[in-house]
Amino acid sequence: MALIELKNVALDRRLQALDLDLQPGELVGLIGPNGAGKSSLLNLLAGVEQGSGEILWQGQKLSSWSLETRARKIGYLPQRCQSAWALSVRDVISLGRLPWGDENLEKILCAAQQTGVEDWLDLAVDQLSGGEQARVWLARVLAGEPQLLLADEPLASLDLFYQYQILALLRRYAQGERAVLVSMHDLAIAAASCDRLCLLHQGQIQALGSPQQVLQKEHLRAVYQVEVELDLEVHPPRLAVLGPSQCP
Amino acid sequence: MILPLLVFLCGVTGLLSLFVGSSEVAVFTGLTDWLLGRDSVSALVMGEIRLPRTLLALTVGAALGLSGAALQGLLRNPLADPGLTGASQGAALGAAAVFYFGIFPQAGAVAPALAGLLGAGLAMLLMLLLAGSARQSMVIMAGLAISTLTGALLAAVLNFAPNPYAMQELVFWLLGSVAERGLEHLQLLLPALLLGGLLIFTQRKLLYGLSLGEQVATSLGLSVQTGGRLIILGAALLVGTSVAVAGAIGFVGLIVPHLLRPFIGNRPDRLLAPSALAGAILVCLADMLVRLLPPGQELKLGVLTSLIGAPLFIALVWKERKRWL
Repeated sequence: MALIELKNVALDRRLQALDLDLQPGELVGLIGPNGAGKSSLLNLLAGVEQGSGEILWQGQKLSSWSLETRARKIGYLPQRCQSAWALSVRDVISLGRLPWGDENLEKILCAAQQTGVEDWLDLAVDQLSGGEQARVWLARVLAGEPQLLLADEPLASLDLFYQYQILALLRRYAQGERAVLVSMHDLAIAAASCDRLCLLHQGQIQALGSPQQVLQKEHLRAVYQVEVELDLEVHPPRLAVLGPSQCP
Repeated sequence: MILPLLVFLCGVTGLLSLFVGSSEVAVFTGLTDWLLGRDSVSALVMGEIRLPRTLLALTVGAALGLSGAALQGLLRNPLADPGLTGASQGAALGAAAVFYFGIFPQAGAVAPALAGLLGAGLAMLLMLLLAGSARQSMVIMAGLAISTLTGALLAAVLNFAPNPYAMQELVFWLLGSVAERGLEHLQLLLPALLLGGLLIFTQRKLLYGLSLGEQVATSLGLSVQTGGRLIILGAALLVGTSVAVAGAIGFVGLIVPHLLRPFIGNRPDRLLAPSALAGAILVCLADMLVRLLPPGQELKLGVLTSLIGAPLFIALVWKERKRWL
């Protein structure tokens, strides 16, 4: 049974008639140009925005759940994050435990170790660099041990080493009963790391399936208006933009 | 660690405050006499003057400190002032109506406070209606709009003052003081402190969650809109009643949370109780200072707190400015 299933989901003019499912153990990449609806979809799943249509969690209606129960199952890492106060890294991570009503030290430490921020627990988060902060925000989500992890461009401010590390971490996280839905812009990374891709265009799903099924020249031409050269057979996959596509 | 220390300091300040006054009085004998209902000068001084004044200073301070901490946490802005809800100006307008139109004559000395409470309530209601269900930042704009409206009405009332005495009385009252008030004022203030405090304390998790913004707070299962309204309601209740009882005592709600933040790791949820206690201590100390100044024209408590608070506020703006440069 699908972990989460969207049926005819819409959100004003940003998302239209979406049908999507995530299976346990899956890492699904959400791709598409700016304004395609990636963040809106993640917001909707996280409960930040309310849309129409039906969202089922293992066959049950998600809307019938309390906010707290939902927050225990679904963790959300927004695109931009900032702490209004100079909280310590430990306090930021322990925010992830809010839906559980505890500040479980073991889980906080475990989340910090997974993202490599355990040495900074007592530092104020605003003293860290942007890339370091990005790992702390992710640790906050991991501390809640959600079954579904939603991450909005988690690689955006990371250097190559931590891009690799965080992807490997998300890959490991999407195991057993858990799944990860992550939005990203780098299609080659998406092809290399995700089980399935969902290509959004103007609030609708343009293509959904394995990287080979989704990353096809005609799809990318229709969505991004660019000509690309693709080689998904090599590892890691290669993708080069040749230039803007010619208008027919 | 800071909480027990503040509780202790609050107790000591309250006790010391009973010893400060223009006449020499046997404090403990006076208190015992007053409690046992014996007639004596010291019983009169303690029961009618110093005890109400001390308790009022403590409660007004606690209300202002707590509301400041709550609003700053909710609006995620260290420069947010409890007066932002529009409740202070509303209370002032209500009290002005008493001085000028003599409403609530049967309430006697408590009339300005009662009318002030009513004014604060109305201003707050208008503000909440105006802010609607929009984002929390709209609360600042709506509060400012209502404050401006009530401020304009207050200016109009001052403009058409029936006689100079009414005007003088109102202006002095607006300057803020806990002098010449009785235990009946405490009966207004204490329930408001308890109810407002309760409303705010139930939303501690929300204040913590909001540290990372409304999106994160919502995704953590917190009801940002309802909880936010409850916090504003609680804060307005605290500020409105304080202003209604003691006039405008500025900067306490703004400065106290800021001074305490480094001691509690900057966590907005852990700031509430310490801010209430520190607010109580600060206002009580300021009132003791007012009493210790040489006799003559009394410096009003609100003027003193503003004189102390304004330079601190300037320093705070300076520091914040450097942070964003």
